[in-house]
Amino acid sequence: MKELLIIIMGAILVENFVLTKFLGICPFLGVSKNLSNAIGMGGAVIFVMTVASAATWLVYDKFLLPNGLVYLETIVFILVIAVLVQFVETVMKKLLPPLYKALGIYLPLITTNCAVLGVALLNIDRGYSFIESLLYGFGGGVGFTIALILFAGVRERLELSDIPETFKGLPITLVAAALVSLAFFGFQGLF
Amino acid sequence: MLRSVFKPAVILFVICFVVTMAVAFMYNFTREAIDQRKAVDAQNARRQVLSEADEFIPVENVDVIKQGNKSLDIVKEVYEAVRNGKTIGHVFTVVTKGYGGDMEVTIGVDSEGTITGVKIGSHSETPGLGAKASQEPFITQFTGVKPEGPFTVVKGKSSAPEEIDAISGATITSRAVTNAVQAAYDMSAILKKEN
Amino acid sequence: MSMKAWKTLTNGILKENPTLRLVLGTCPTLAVTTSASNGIGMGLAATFVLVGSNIVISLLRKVIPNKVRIPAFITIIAGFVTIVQLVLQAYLPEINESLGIFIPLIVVNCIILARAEMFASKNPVYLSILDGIGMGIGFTCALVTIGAIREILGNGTLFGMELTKGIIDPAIIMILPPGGFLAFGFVIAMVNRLTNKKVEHNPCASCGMNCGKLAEGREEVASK
Repeated sequence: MKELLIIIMGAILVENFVLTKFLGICPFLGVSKNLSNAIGMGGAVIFVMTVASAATWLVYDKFLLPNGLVYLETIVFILVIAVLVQFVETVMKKLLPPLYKALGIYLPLITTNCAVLGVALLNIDRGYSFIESLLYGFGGGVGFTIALILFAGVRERLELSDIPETFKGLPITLVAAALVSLAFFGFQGLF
Repeated sequence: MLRSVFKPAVILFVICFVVTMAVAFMYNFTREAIDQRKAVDAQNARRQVLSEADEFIPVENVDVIKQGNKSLDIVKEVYEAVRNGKTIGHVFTVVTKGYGGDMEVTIGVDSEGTITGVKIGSHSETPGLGAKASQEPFITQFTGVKPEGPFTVVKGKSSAPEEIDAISGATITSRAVTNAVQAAYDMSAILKKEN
Repeated sequence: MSMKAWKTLTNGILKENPTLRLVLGTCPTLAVTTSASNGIGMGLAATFVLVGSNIVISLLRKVIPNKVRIPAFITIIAGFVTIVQLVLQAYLPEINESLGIFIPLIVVNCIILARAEMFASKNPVYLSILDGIGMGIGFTCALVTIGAIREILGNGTLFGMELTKGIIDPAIIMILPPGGFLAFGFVIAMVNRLTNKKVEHNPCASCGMNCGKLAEGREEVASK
């Protein structure tokens, strides 16, 4: 039980996917301008990362490993994720239209989010069990969302600041991200 | 209508098939090289931690020797170090849980119970922090130590050879490596008793 | 070489440098630049995949139906990435270790998918090869630059050679995550300054296709 808690809290704080592991940077820099976008993207990512962790773990454990096809891991995982995202999108559109309206546009772009493929690969790398993988995927998504939301707040403040011309836009965003990452570094050694 | 779904699906399938075949071919082509490389690296690691040995003979029934001792679970392989036909010690391959994942540690212990060397193989520790465990001055702390008691990790100056100075900012990594060395030492003690 | 060919080749190095101007592939850029040699390793691995996939996709551009083009591209790219993984495991395991999880992550490196979508699927093979090489060189140069900065400031070495030992104590923060963001930010600022043109980073949910074409396409579908 304690192990599982450590995995989740670790994924959210100590090894935050975006700020420490550098997974999911593209949407992090692209979507954090606006708080409601950030929440939408975050929700979609949590969902996809959790389900993808489960799906890829099962495929690995029940199919790739027993058949000695471990070297096909990369290809199979990314295709599973692509299919999964497509499937989730279709189902959501039919069954949960309001949720689809809120999150739907971000779903297909999550396929190329390094955090999703990253967490799937990490689960296998670390030899996590099914439950552990599920929790790590969930925790990773939550960490991503928290980072995203925090950063959206930072960026809204930046909009109102007087920034030197050379740094306007992306550079100051990255410097701000450096500071947020530094703050999260304080969690190192939490356990 | 079916045609517009069928044709793309077939083409996609063919592409998947061809790609998989190409990758499978590459896999078979490189498999021998990969296996060989792993074997050579492992042998080199053993030579490095116990350099006086002529050869290393794998010990069978490692699990039996552990006698159900849970703390020895992390010891994966044991090799008998032989020189001129005589056993001069053992080399242990231990997999311990570091900060970023599993760490592979090779430890040499001679028949007197002195640690002859420790080498870290694959790991996922943070560069500049935990990764420093594989370099001096951390890793050399174990060499030549004949522990009078269990190894402990301390922050700051260590006053006894069994006290290991942790890497500042990387306590978890330091502990993991020390656990590995402890397990290897305990295994060697069991093996000594058996002889 | 014809004018067009030369332009295609140099495009990816300066004018449309994937890292510093198009701002694609930011994940590996930040993660892998802890040293200059890591930068080269990743750059070369990615270039190989880029050129390979550009060639295949360009050859098949008239054959792949529009509907399944993204999955098809992904499969082809994943194939090349796996080949790189196997080759590195067999012949260059040190690079494999230091780049770690970011080698398989080349599959979702936006640069490769973006070039497949924007160039290789619309251009003949020889131009696609040049585009791949150009973009690859641009990516590698950016990685080595940022990697060198971080390595010198954070470790006191360059390509493993001691530089500032005994003179200045390195600032370890530079090879840790915050340093990655910082170095990248300053390099982009420098690029802004030198080119007097702001680097546009399109604030849409896309991790690639810098003009958010994918997002726009989805918007039309979602509104139906």
